[in-house]
Amino acid sequence: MRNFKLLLVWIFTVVLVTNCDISTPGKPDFTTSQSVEAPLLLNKTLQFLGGGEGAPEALLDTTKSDFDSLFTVTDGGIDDGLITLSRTEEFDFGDLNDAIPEISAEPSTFSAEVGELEIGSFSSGDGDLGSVDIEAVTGSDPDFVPAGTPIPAGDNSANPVEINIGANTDFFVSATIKRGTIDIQVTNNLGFDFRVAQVQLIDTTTKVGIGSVAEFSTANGNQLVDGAVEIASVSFTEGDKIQNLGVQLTIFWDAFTFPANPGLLAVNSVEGNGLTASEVEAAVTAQDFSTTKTTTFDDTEFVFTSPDHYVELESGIISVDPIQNSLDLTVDTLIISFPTIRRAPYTAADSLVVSYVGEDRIFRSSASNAKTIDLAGYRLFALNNTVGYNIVALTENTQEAPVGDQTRIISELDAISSGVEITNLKVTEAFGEIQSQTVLLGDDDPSNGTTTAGNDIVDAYNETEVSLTEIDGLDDLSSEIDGIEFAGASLSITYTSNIGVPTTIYAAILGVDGEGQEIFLRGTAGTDKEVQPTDPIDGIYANGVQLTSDQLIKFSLDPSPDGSVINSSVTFDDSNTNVLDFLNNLPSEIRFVGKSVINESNGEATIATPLEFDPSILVDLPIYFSAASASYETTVDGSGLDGLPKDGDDTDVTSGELVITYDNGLPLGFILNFDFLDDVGNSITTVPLPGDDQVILSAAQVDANTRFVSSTMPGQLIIALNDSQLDQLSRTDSVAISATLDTFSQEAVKIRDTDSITISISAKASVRTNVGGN
Amino acid sequence: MKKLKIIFTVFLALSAASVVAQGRHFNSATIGMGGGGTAYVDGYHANFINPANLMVNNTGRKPKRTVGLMGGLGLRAGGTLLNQNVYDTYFTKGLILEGQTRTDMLNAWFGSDVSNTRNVVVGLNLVPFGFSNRGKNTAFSLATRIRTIEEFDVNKGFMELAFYGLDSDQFASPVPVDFSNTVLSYTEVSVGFAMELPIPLTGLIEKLPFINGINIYAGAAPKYIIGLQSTELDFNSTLQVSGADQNGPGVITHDFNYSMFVYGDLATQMSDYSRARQTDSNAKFGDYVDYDGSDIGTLGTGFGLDLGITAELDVSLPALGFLGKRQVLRVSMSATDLGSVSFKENPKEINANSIFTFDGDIGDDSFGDYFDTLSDSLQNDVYGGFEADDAPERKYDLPGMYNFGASLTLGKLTATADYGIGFNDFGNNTEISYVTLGAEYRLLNFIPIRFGTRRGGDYSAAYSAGIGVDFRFLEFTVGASTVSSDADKGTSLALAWSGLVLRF
Repeated sequence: MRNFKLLLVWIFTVVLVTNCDISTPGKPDFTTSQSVEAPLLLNKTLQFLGGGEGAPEALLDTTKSDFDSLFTVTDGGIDDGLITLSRTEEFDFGDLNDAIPEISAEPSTFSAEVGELEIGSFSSGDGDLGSVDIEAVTGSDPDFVPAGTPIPAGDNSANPVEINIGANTDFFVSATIKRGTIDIQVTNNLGFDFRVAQVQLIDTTTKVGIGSVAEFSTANGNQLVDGAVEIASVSFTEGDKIQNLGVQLTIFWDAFTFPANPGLLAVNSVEGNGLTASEVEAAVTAQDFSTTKTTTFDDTEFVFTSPDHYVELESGIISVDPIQNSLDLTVDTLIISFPTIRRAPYTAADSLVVSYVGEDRIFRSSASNAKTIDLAGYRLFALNNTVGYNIVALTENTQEAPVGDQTRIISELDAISSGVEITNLKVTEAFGEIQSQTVLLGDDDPSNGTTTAGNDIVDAYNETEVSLTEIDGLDDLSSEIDGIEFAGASLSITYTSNIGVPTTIYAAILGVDGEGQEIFLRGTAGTDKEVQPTDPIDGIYANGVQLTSDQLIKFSLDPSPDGSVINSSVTFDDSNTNVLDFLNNLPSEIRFVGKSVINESNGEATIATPLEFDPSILVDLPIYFSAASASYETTVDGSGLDGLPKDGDDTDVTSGELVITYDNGLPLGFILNFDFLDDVGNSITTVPLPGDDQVILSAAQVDANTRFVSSTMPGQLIIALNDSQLDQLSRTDSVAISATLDTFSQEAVKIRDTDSITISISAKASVRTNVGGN
Repeated sequence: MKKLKIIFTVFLALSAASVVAQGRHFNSATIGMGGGGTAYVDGYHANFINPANLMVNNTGRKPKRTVGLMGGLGLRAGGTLLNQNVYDTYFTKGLILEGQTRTDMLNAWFGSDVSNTRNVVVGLNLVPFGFSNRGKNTAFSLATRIRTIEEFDVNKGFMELAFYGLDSDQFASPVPVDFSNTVLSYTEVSVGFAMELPIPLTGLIEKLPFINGINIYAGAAPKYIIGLQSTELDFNSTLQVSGADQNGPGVITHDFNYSMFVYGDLATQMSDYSRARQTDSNAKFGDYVDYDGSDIGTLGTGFGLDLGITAELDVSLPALGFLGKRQVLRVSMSATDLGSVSFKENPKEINANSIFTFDGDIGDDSFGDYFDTLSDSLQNDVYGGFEADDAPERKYDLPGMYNFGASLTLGKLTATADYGIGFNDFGNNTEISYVTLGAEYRLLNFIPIRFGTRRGGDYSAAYSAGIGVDFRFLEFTVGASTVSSDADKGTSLALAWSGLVLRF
């Protein structure tokens, strides 16, 4: 029974299934065919120049960073609206203070010796130094010998009288005589005449005579008659030492009558007369002594040929070494004066003085502290590159010293000595004969060394040294376009400068286009911009190679008449340079290296810091050009086309077409060619194909006089791709676009900012998509 | 290509699903038996087909209580847009769909009138939880059901745009390009009750030939409905494409209007966007509309009712006695999905009426900028340039049906026959009556093998089958149904899974 029921189920199943009309969907296999026709652009006007909020869309959007400030438009005049590509780049060379001459001075020393010591008075007070009466001379006591008593001729040679004068020469102790005499003044009031009186200086201690014997006599014209006051001079032999000084008198007289009231025989004074000593022990009055020294500046960069020539110092130091005082005397005052180092207002009274007085006085047998003087702001008037200085010293007066400390031993060899050095001189202004200076413009990279002549090298391709002007907008253009001939282009260097010295710039101005092609700006032969081989161009390199004179340009800076900052400029145009070739190359970057040669003639001039030279390079490239089959080539990335269907894909674009309708208001026409390249650079297909119509966009007509567009040129161009071309496009790696550019009639044209082109674009494509199949 | 094949596989699967398009609840058992079940389905599923069946134990072996955890999942989809005849004729033979072939294909698919429409309907039933308890004289149940219905309609012009593209020849004059889309999603919480009705003249009935006994059950299952989400979009337009000529690059003109009903946060967001656009022309749709679904469950409510009655007869058919001792005939009828759900949380009607003309005039914009922003512009300024107005609450009738069915169980074999007719044409529901036939054989008493068919209604004849394991305490079965190719009625497919059903 169970089997029967199961049989029924199977019977029901079979009947049900066999009656079912359940068809299994087949494998999909079909191809759709769709068209896409779309307007992309309607009467879109693209102005040549412009952009920005609310402004018409521009081919060159000057609001974008690449073109910002790149273009200027002439306002008014015959060229109203003419576009000029302008690019200004400021160079930051820093100052040219290296051109300020550097000077340095040799250190000097001075030594002021005391020298020979002159001895004057041997007495510190008034009055006689000593005296004797008639009895001491004649042996006759007036108390016992009446007046009128005849006295026979005689002498006291057996017993000369001594007058000890030491008690009255209190400033003097001893002296070692070099030369000179001592004048001894004697007054005879004994009441009778001396026929001859011999005077001898003696050491009262040893009784030894000192020096020669002087004589009062008629023969010497100094006879000591009664009442006479006469002087006799005692001479010495070098090395005589006088000390414990006394006077011994030997008197010879003729017969006389004993006077009624005899007076005294007195030694009034003992004075040195040209008396010099090599050493003295005495209480001395203030001793002054002085000396003059000079220091010399080098003349390699600056020469002082006139008393008016000077350098004003931004900084500098005079260092005076410790002054060594070997005297047993304190130098109360020492003045070192520099008569030609002056501060404003630079009169003689403004000279630099270094003083040691008061607390700075130099104590005996010691040394002072060293002194340094800041010379900032001082001017050096160094005629013949020499600065002199005077040292004047004044010692203490020991006679005024406390008793017991008054006498000092002074040797003629005692001295005050020191050294003076002028260092770290940095000049802020100089007036004189400035020797020619060469200063690099910009930074120097020491790694590229110097030339064999020792000049620093600046290289146009050394990124540290070069001043670079990048014209971003021309970067791509210059690498892609060739054959454009500009007219009226110029390149200027504007600058501010305070250099009052004739200055010449020698420079390499190198324009490099987007393809790396180089053109040097050079001066036209015979113009002042031409560089001669003999000019100082050693060290101006490019890529490690010394540039020749025909790769360089020079120009002179206008000197500032009074050191103030002036504005000026140098223009390189077709008359003095190859600037048209230079700019026709469409340099995307301009490399500048150079050097300035200051005061090339070595003449008298004034130069001062900061030595400013702030140049800007200005490129003016009016869009005024001609193109006769000029070429424009660029390659764009085509890898984005790899998404296109390829032969054998399920999706197939069977045709594609862009229709561009235009009304060209630009005086420039194009013949366009597109070459689709695979990843190894092989051509896949081209548009147009050989034999097909050219893709031409015609130039607008130009007014014969103004060279501006006079009427627009309408037209239509079609860029079409067929099925087989489209099948291959997915292999595209890049698209080489080439265009032949012609200005209207291949003549020079000018483009205004408002020149425009109006275009409409529509796209049409047919797409087949296969689904399923095999 | 592999992707396309996958897409078409799904396409065909969805097309087959529409075969069983109907409003009646289904589970893996009924879908395998043609889609009926009025006199067959018991347990908590009876809440949604015939609550009277809560008293039924259709195998005679099931315990009193049934619990379903993820207790049933069903998906069916189909529609006239899914036309297998057109597919077989034009999409499988390597044809290039252009010229006359393309014309014929679209005529075969949509007819000659460019305004003709075709649709795709997708319905999803999910019973997250169900419980039923069958007593001696009464039974009750609690069940939830999530129901999502989506219908998408397009006209012939829409497909012409797809197959011709922007073709100035095809669209030289304005061509209607229309589509609509309706989504309705709600959750039902249904409480069922059934009882055995007292039968007069019982003895007399049992004296009738072949009738050994009779029970009559009646049941009702009221339900509370929570509106989850709904949108209703109707887009109508004409498209005209003029090709380029010497006068210009051509024009594409799209004259369109659309309306859409939205609710809750989405309505607020779209309204905010609409207001913002009035003061800020640069307002971006995406800046205002970012619906995260957090308001689902708060948008609408409704009530519904399922009613049914079943007569269960213990029959004795001697001629079929060899099929088994147990011979039970049930005859049932029910009315299901009576009621409606109203979406009343912040209802808005979105309206737009504009003409989009694209002629390449990009004004002051640059070419690149214009096309870079074109999609945004279309979204915000053209098609997103709508107005959002307050709208009255939107009421949707449930896909109500009248069902009549019978089942005859002879031991391990059960045969069913059902008749149904919808009260409306919403979603899978249809006012065209249909019948289903089905059979189940319980191999080894726990492997139900099910077959069935369905005739009538919106769609062509459907054929179905099902299998699984159905133990006394556990059920795990699946069923599927598909439709044969029909040039006019399309095709469909239904799939169902019993979920995890436990009985104790």
